[in-house]
Order: sequence, then C-alpha cells, then structure tokens
Amino acid sequence: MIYLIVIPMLLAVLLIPFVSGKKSFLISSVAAAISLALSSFFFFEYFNRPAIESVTWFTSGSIKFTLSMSASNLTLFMAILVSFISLLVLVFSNFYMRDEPQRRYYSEMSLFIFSMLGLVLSNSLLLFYVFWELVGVTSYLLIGFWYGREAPASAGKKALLLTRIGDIAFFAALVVLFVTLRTFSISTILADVSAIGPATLSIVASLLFIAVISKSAQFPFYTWLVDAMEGPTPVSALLHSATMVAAGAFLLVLMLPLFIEAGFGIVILSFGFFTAFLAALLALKEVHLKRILAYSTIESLSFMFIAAATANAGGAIFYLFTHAIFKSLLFFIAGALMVLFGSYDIYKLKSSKKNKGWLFVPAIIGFSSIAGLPPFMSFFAHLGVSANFTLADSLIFLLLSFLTALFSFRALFVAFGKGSGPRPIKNMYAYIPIIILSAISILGGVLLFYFSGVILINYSFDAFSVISVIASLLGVYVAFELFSRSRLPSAVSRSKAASVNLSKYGWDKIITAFGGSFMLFAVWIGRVDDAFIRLFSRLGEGFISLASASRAIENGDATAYVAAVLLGLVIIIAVAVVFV
Amino acid sequence: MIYLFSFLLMALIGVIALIVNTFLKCRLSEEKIVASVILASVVLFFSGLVFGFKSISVQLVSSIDFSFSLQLNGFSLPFMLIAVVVPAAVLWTAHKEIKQNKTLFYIFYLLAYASLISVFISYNLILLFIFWEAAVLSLFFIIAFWGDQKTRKGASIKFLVFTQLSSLTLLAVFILFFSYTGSFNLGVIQQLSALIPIGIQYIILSLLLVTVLIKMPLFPLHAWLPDAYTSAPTSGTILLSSLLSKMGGFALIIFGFEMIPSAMSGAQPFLIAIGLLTVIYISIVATAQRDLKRLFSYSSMIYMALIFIGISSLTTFGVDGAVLLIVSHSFIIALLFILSAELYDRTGTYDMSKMGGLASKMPVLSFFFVFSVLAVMGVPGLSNFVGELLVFLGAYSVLPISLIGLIGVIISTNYYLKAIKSTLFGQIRATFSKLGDVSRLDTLQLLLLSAFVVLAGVLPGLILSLVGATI
Amino acid sequence: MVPLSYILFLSVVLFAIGVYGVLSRKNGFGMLISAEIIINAALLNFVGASASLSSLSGASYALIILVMAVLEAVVFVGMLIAYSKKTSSVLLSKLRRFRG
Repeated sequence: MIYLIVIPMLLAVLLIPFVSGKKSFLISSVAAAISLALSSFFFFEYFNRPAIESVTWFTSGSIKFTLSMSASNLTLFMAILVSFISLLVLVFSNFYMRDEPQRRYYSEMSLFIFSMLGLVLSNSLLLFYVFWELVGVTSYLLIGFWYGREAPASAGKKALLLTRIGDIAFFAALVVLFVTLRTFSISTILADVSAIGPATLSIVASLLFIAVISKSAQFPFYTWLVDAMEGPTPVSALLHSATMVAAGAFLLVLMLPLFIEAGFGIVILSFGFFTAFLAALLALKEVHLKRILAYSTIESLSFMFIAAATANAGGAIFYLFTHAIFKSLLFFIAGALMVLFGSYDIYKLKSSKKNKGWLFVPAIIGFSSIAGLPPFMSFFAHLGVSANFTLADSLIFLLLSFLTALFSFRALFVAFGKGSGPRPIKNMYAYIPIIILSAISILGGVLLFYFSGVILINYSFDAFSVISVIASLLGVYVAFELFSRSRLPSAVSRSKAASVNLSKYGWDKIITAFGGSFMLFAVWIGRVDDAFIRLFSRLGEGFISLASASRAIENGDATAYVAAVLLGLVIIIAVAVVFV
Repeated sequence: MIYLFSFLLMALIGVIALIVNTFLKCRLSEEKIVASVILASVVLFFSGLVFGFKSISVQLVSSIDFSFSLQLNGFSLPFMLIAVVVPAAVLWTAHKEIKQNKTLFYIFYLLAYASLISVFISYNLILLFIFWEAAVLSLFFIIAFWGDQKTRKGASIKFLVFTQLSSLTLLAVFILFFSYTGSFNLGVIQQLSALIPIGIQYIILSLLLVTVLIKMPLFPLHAWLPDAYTSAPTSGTILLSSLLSKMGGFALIIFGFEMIPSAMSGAQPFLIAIGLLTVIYISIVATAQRDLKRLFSYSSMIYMALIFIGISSLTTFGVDGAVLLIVSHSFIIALLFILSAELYDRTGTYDMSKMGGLASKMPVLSFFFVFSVLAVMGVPGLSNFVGELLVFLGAYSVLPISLIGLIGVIISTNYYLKAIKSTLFGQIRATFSKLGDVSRLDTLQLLLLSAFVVLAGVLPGLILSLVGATI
Repeated sequence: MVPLSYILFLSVVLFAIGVYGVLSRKNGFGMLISAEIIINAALLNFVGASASLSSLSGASYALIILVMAVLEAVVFVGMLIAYSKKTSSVLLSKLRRFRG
C-alpha cells in the first residue's frame, strides 16, 4: 500500500499535459497535499512496525528482480518531509512562476516530486537507483527551464553531466553488489555486509561514495550546484536544498554500516570538513544571494556527512530535516526579494534602499539558522551533528561555525541594510509558506528530543555547544562590524584574501580545462578514425580502378579478341605438352 | 496459428502489386501498397504472438540438404518484433523523402522487409544465407540509388565490399557446420554442435567473428559505418542501424552462443575486450562529431558493442540484456534518426553548430528529441536501462574489469547533452525564425515508437518473455 | 592411300591460312570464310586420321563438326546482319560501339 504515496504525483504528471495552465498548479498542489496526508497516515499506521512490500519487476533466467518499498519510521518521516516541503514550494511557485509556462513547469516538478518520494521509500537499491536517476533528469530539465538563455542551458548540462558520473558509479556498485550478494534489498545487503570480501567492499564503498558526493555536491563535484542556481528559485528551494541533494546524504545514512565496515569513516569525515571549509570561504566572496545560499547548502550537506561519519546517523537526518526547513525558507525569501525588488545581488538590494518589510524577520530567522544560533531549530540540529565529535573535530567545527556565521550574516546585513519607503505587498502564496517555515524554525527544536522515535540520535549539550554558539556570535559580530557599518573596501579585500587560492573559479577553470582538453583529445581521435575509414575507402577505390583498368581489354575490337583466343590456345597446348 | 510463410507471401504480393501498378499504370500510390503489406504483417505477427506460429519445411535439394524451412528458433520472436514493426514506422519517413523511382525503391524496401523477417525465422542455413544476402543487397541498392548525391557511390561500394566479406565468412561458417554435422538444418546442428572438435570450433569462431565485427559493426572493422549511414536516405539508415546490425547480433547468438559456446568461453576475455575497446574508443570519436547524423551513427555502435559484450558473457543475464538492448535500441535509434531528419528538413543541415534555440519554435519535436536522447542514455523507466543493467551484470560476473565500459557511458553522456543543447537550447538564429513544428502524422509516428520505448522500459518482462519461444 | 603426314601437313597449312585470314580481315564475311577454312582444316585432320586408322569414329566426328560449322555460320551471319543494319557496313571497325 505504501506505493499509494507516490501515485497522486504520478497521476499529476500524466494529467497536466492535458489541462490548461492554471489548472496545472491546482492539480500538482492537490496531489502533493494528498501525498502528504497519505504519508502522515502511513507514518502513524506503521509507527514502530516496519514493513516491506515488494513486487517482481522482471525475471531473467531464474532470477527475479524485485522492487521493494519499506515502510519504517525513517522512510515515512522522510516522505512526510518531502511532500510537506514540496507542497509549500508548489504554493510558492504560484507566486514566483506566475508569468512562466505553467504546464511544463508543474509537470516537471510533479515528476520530480514523484521520483523523490519514491526514492525515500525504496528498500530495493535498484528502485532507489531508478528514482535517483529520475531526480537527476528532472533536475536537468528544471535547471534548464529557461532554455532560451545560455546560462541555464549550460548549467543544466553541467549538472546532469557531473551527477551522471556519480550515477554511473552507483550503477557499477549495484552491479558488484548484485553479483556478490544476489540481492538489491538494502536490508539484506546490510545484514550480509560482512560476507563481502574486503577488496570488493572497498570497491563498492568507493563507488557509492562517489555517487553520494556527486549528488550531494561535495568536493570535487560541487560546482554544478552553484551553477544550478540559474534555475527558477522554487526549483532551487526544492531540489537543490531540501530534497534532491539531500538524497546523497540519505543514501549515505542508509548504507552507513557498509561504509563503516569498509573503513570509510575517516574518508567521509575528511571530505566533509574540507568541502565545508571550501564552501564557507567561497560563500564569503559571492554577491549573488542564491549562490551564497548554494554554498551554504553545500556546507550543510557536509555537516550531514560529518555527522554520519561520526556514526551519528540520527544527527545527520535531523540536520537534513532542519536544513530542509530553513533553507527553503531562505530561498523563498530570496525569491520574494527578486520579485519585489528585482535583484539577487546583495549589494544592489542594499543600494535599492527599499523597505524589506515583512521579509526582515523571516530573514533573521533563516540566516541565524544557517549559523546555528539558539533558540532556533538548527541550534538543536547542531547539537545532534556534533554529538560524537572528537576534540580535533570540535576545534575544526568551531572554526567552521565562525566562518558560517560570518558569511550568512554578511548576506543578511548587506541585503537587508537600511531601507525605507512603502512596505512590500504580501502575496499570500509567498507569505504563507514563509510564515509556516519560520514558525517551524522557531518552535521545531523541541523535536530533537522526540526524534529517536524516527531514528536513533545522539545529541549532547555540553561546554562545546556553548563555545560553538559563542564562536557563531563572534562571527555575527564581525559581520556586523564589516558589513553593516559600510566599511566595504577592507572587508572585501579581507575576504578575497581568504578565498583567493580556493576560488571556485579556479576549480571550475580546472574542470573546464579538463573538458576542453578532452575535447581536443576527442577531435584528434576522431581524425585518427577518419583516416582509418579513408584507408578502407581507398581500398575500395583501388578495386574500382583495378576494375576500370582491366576494362580496357573489352575494347570491342573483334580481331583482338580472336588473337587473344589463339594466344590462349597456344599457351594451353604448350603447357599441356610440357607437363603431360 | 499463423503460417510463418505468410510474411513472405504478403511481401511477394506487395512486390507483384507494385510491378503491376507501374506497368498497367494504375494510379495506386506505391506507399499505400507497401503500407497495406506491412500493416498486414504487423497484424499477422501480433496474432501469431497470441495464437502461435506454424512452421513450414519443404525439401528442395536433398543432396545438399537445402530445404525451405521456416521455424521459430528460441530467439526469433524478439527479432521478429523489431523486423515487423520498425519498418512500419519508417515507411512514413520514406514517403516524405523518396520522390524518384518510387516503385523500384519500394520493391527494394519490401524485399529488405521480407528478407529481414525471414532471416530470423529460417531454419535451414542455405535459406538463411539467401535471405541474409537479399537483405544486404537491397540495402546496397537503396544506398546507391537514393542516397546523398555526392557520397553515395563510395559509401555504397565500401558497404558492399565489407558486408560481402562478412557474408563470405558466414558462408564459410555454414559450410564448416555442414561438413562436421552433415546437415544445414538449424535444429540438427544445434544438437550435434557439441561434437565438433574444439580446434574447428575456434576456426568457426574466428570466421563468425569477422562476420559479426563487420555487421554490427565493432572496432576495428567499422570503417564502412559512418559513410554508409550518413550517405543513405534516412529510411535506409534506420533499416541499417535498427535491423541489419541486429542481424550480426542474431548470428552471434545463434551460431556463437548456442552452437559453439566452448570456443566462445575460451576466447571470452578477448571478445569482451573488443567490446570494451569499441565502447571507449567510439565514445571518444563520437565526442568530436559535429554532424548530428554521424554522431548518432557512431553512438549506435556503442550499443552494438554492449550487445556483443552481453552475448560474449555467455550468461543468462548477459544474453537477456543483449536481447533487450537489441529490441530497445532498434526503436530508440529509429527515433533519433527520424528526429535528426526532421531537423535537417527544417534547417537544411545536420551540423549541430549551425542550429540552436529550436525548442522555442518546435516544442513537440523538442519533447521527442529530449525523450529519445534520455532513452538512449539509459534513463530508468525507458527501455535501454534494464538491458544495460543485465549486460553489465553478466559481464561483471565473468570478467570484473568489464566495468570500465561504464567510462564510455559517462563520455557518451557528454555528447548526448551537447547534442540537445546545441540543437534545441539557446538563442534561435534569425534564419530559422519561420520554422514549423512537426505535423500530426509525424507526431503519431514518433508517439508510436516512443510508446514502445516506454512500454519496454516499464515492463521489460514482456520482451524477455519472447525469448525461448519455439512455437 | 595418301600418307597421313601429307594430309596433316595440308591441314596445318590450311589452319595457318585460316588463322592469318581471321586476324587480318576487316570484313565480317572475310572473317567468317577464314574461320570456315580453319574448321575445314580440322575436318581434314579428322578424316585423314580416320582413313589411316581405318576407323569410322573420325569421320563421324567430322560430320558433327560440319553441322556445328553450319550452325555457327548461320548465327554469325545473323549477327552481321543486325550489325550492318546499325552501322550500314560489314566492316568490323565499328564494333566498339556495341561494347557493354
């Protein structure tokens, strides 16, 4: 029955092409609401009574390939989260995407939501992979939604290309796992993980790791996420913060026993911290609000990875949940700023000097959430993330907290600088989702204590937590000094110095250079192949010219023919006489 | 019970009707005649799936064991599916592009159609060879007379020389089978093939390999492909890529996998290596292509290489995956070539760098284009995915290193996305501002092919159930 | 009985004359007549052999050859007629036109 959760979205995808533009919004949001209702219903129905439902997809030889979905506290919680955020995003889309082609947008969004819901409910890695690829494809379509412009089209292509590397790695891992263990079922695989030989285990773990870091935009794959901000803002809110990119972290959590068994804990931890630093430093250099949020997303995903690596899967999931809430809140605010004030550039927003009105308080909530300040929910999430930290981890985390607060409040102070004038209008489709998310961000922290019901979570409130809050507040203060008091030149140069070596443009240039040199290599190989082909053409032409040459014998001269016959006769007789 | 002979009969009636139509100057449109023949065959085929097929066997020359026998071998049905259905969709494309000597063209078309179906149901090797040659020669004439003016002469002759070589080695394989089993009958050979000494099996394998490497084609005997595919008229290209290349796969399955598996397993690393080399080499070559038709031609080879790897793995997974890829790729490559022909009709060029932004003028075409490219990339839910999965499962289980073939898949993603972006996205040029979208009938044709792709993607079991049917 | 060697000698001479004639004639009929001379040389050979070996098989072969010669002459004349209709001459120099 669990599959019923995804059916409304699937029906929406099938119906929308046949209805008018306005109705497509209604159909998709109603479908999302139904999915939300069903997810909640099933959550309580299957609470602490996990179940797995499977169906045979096809049979090859004597082996059945089954697709299974699992109804457990974790998967159904994720389903609730995904459908809830999706619903809010769809509502917000009615505000942001008002003047855009409706049907294409809502059908692609519905396809995405369908795939994402299917992904979180999958128990079979095969089914998980199917949805994993589908979310990647819908992401490509949605990023490149405004295909008429070069930037979104390239961004979409880059996103799919980079994530496809991870997808193929995932595919390879699937192949290895199935041949080794004869099953795709996650539960069975985790149970038998010790049966996999060490070499194979390392290979599988490496492949799955590549898959998760490409989907979750960690180093070295992070550039696609930053460029993905070319897509419509609701898309950024849903896919590229709350759900799709979290799928990588989700897979990591699901397969965590396998990674731990393969000894990958330290690898994940290192990649996580490195990416987090990279993202924080690069965020300091950005002026485009969505790109700042993108780097923040990358950093948050790193936090999820770090939590998982320290064997605190629950911490990762709770942070995922929290992040989904406050990041979509921030993207909604950014989208509202764009529609109401016309720009994503934080300095242009500052210089517009307009009254940001009702957006100000949610913005404070949102940016504070990035920094993990109490009393907001994300503070509690940070408690979860840092629960199993060693001393070294904690020190690094403190530095990160400082940097995070610095870049997030830089954005807040610059974009929401002094403004005056008439208050912006409150469009309900924008206003209500923002208010809802703000409310959850304020009140949701309490859920930390009940979260073990979903997945076992470690959290600790100790001296470290207090110190990290102090570090964040320090960051806020520094940001205030630098950016609120308009001391721009020195501030900009200071942040530039920090990020000049790790400039995203540098890494991006490396990737582009790699792509370019590969293209040159390909052109060269293409010429080799062309020469090879022409070689055979020449062979063929050689035959033809040989044929044309021997054509000269048939010249129609009867006398020559007779002479030839007689000559042949003489030769035959001579041969016969000599050899017989 | 549908007589297998009826397919040939229908085609024969069609040819006669075409000839009569020309000589008696009846004003019947040639396309309608061909369409009715093909439609009848499609109906016959699907009724056959429901009611079963009836074989026929007539002794013609007993001294060399030549009998006219048509019977389903275990792999006939999936191949028949594509041989019966794809030319139906292609007929519309042929109608749009062939304007001269239509009768002659459609005679060759029906000849190719009948031969292709009959190759897959021939139970006597001499008969199979006759139909094999007939198919090849019809395609040669189609390329030579209706192909692109400037390049068709060289391309068709190169095609002919290569495929005749492959036919020659195939004949040698048949003769070897005959001399060691005393029969040209497929069933008899299958039973006795285990008794062929292993040295001879290796010789048979080498000869068969030449045939298959030329036919599918694979590196290094692929030199005929780019020119032949690009010079042929679109309908010819689709017949080549969807059907003739699959004849090579058929030969490998029937004569390799079923009859000389011990030789194949001995040479397995070598075979899989050729496949992997083709995948990686050709994906790099394809990256450099700017001509859309040429790009799709090269990319077609990659799937043939995957099919080859699947069959060479000699596992149920691998062969099932190969069969799935064969059916799925037939439809998808037909879609791709039809769409590139549509783009050519509208923009006058196949060069991707000269197009751009066409999605704004042609939404339906763009939808199908993106759909087809996603399908060929192996997106799950569309037919190529399960085939690729099974092929790699089979290949990995015998030779773990075969996963490096996936590098080719990554490389190919690049040029597929580039193809979409260069042609459809971005700013449209001023010269193209007056282009129209595809017509209703075009949409119907594309929809039919796409429906098969989705159906096979969601329910691959349907195709897999066709394998192994012998009645 | 004439010695066999004389007959063979005559046959060879006739053959040589015939070959020379075929090679040097431009006129179609000339070629035909020379070819007939060659045939007759061969005939003479057979008849002589038959006479000296006192066997009838040589003579019977000779009869068969004679019939064949007639038939071949008929076919050749027919082709020459068709040729002369197209080129209004029996000189074979224009035969080039008919090469395929």
